[in-house]
Amino acid sequence: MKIAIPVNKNNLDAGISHAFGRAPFFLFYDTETGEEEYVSNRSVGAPGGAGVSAAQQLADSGIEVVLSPRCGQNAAQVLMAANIAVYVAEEESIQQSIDSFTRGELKPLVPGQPGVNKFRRP
Amino acid sequence: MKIAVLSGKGGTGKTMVSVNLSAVAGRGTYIDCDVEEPNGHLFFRPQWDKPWTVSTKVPVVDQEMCTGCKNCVEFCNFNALALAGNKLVIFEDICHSCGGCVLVCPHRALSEKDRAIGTVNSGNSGDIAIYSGELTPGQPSGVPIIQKLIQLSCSSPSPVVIDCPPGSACTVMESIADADYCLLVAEPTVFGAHNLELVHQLVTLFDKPHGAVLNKCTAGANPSEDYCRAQDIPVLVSIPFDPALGKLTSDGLIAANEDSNWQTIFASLLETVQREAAK
Ligand code: SF4
Ligand code: SF4
Repeated sequence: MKIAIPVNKNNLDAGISHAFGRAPFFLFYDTETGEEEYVSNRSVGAPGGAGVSAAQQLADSGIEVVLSPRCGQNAAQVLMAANIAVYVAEEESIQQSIDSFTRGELKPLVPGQPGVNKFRRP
Repeated sequence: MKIAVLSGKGGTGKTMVSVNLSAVAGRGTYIDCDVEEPNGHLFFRPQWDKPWTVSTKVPVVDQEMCTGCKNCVEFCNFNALALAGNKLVIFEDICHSCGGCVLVCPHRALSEKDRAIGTVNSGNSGDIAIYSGELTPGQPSGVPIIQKLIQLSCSSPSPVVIDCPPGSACTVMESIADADYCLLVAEPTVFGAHNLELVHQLVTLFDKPHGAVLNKCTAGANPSEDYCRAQDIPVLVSIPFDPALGKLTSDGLIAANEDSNWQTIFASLLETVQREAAK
C-alpha cells in the first residue's frame, strides 16, 4: 500500500507538516517494500487552491492512504473522490505515525469533523 | 466629476471623509465599493429599491463527454479543478471565472453557468443617490460587483464620490479606473505613512491627479505629512484628532450635517478637490 505524509523536509527526522496543501514535501512510503521517496509538493507556492492541487498530485501518484494532522475541505473532497483514505496523524514523528498506522491505531479523518478545516481565503 | 477616496488600510476615516463630501455637496452620488464591508449606507440610511444580483460564470461539466484528459485542470491557475476517480471536480468557491477551462477542453465537456456572488443596492438619501455593493462572504473576488457599481455611476449625477475598498488590490484598481481625482486618506503614524505609500504608488501608476487628507492629526510628529512633502503630494486638509468627530461618526452621523465647523471644513475640501481636478 502506498501512503503519503506531508513533511517539512526531505528526510525521516524532519517531522510532519501541519499544512497539507503547503507542506514543502510529501513522503511516499510503500508499506509492502518499505521503500521511501521524498517528492516536492508542487503546490507549495500556489496563489490559491493549494490543497486541491496537492490532492491532485497525490491522486496522480497512485497514493492510497494519506496520513496528515489536518486537511482542508476542498482537498478532502478530491482525496475522497480519488478513493484515497485519510487518517489523522497525531504524532510529530514520521516513523511513529507510520507504525501507529500499520498497527491500525490511527483514526480516519471524516469531513465535517475536527481535523478537517475550511480555511478562509485571505 | 468622480472623486475616489482611498486608504491603504481600514479605519483611517475613508468612509467618514467620503460621506461628508457627499453630504456637503448635497446632491450627486455616493458609491460604496468597499464590498466586503459596506457601511456608508449606515450614515445615509437610504430607502433601498429592489437589489440587483451580480453573477459571474463558473464552469459545469458534462461527465459523459469528459474523457479525463486533464487539459482544464492543468490550465486552471487557481486550482479550482481536479480530476479524481475519473471525474472532474469543480470548486466554484475558488474559481475566478476566467473562462479558460471551457476554451481549452478539446471535447466540449465544459460549459458555463451563472453563479450569484453578491448584490448591488440603490436608493436615495435626500438628493443624493446611494449605491452600495455587497459581496457574499467566501466569494473569491468583489471585482464584478465593483464593475457593476462603476457602470451605474456613469449615468449617475455628479459629483460622484467613490468610497474604495481599503488596500491596493485589484478591487481598488477597478474602483479608481474611472475617477477624475483620487483622495488619499492617511493617519499620522509610521504605519499610516507606509499605507499611504502603497496607495500613492497605485494612483501614480494609474496617472491620476491626487491629494492627501491627513486624519487624526496631533501636535506630534506626522510621518504621513513628511511623506507627502517628500513626494510632492498636496495635502488638501489636515483634520485634527477630535474625539467629538469620532463620536459623531461612530453614532452613524455625518459630522457636516451636525456641526457648522465640520460643514465648513468639508465644503472647503470639496471645493479644493474640484479646483485641483479641473487643473
Ligand atoms: S473558469 Fe478559470 S478559474 Fe474557473 S475553473 Fe475554469 S480555468 Fe479555473
Ligand atoms: S479538458 Fe474537458 S475532457 Fe479534459 S478533463 Fe477537462 S473537462 Fe474533461
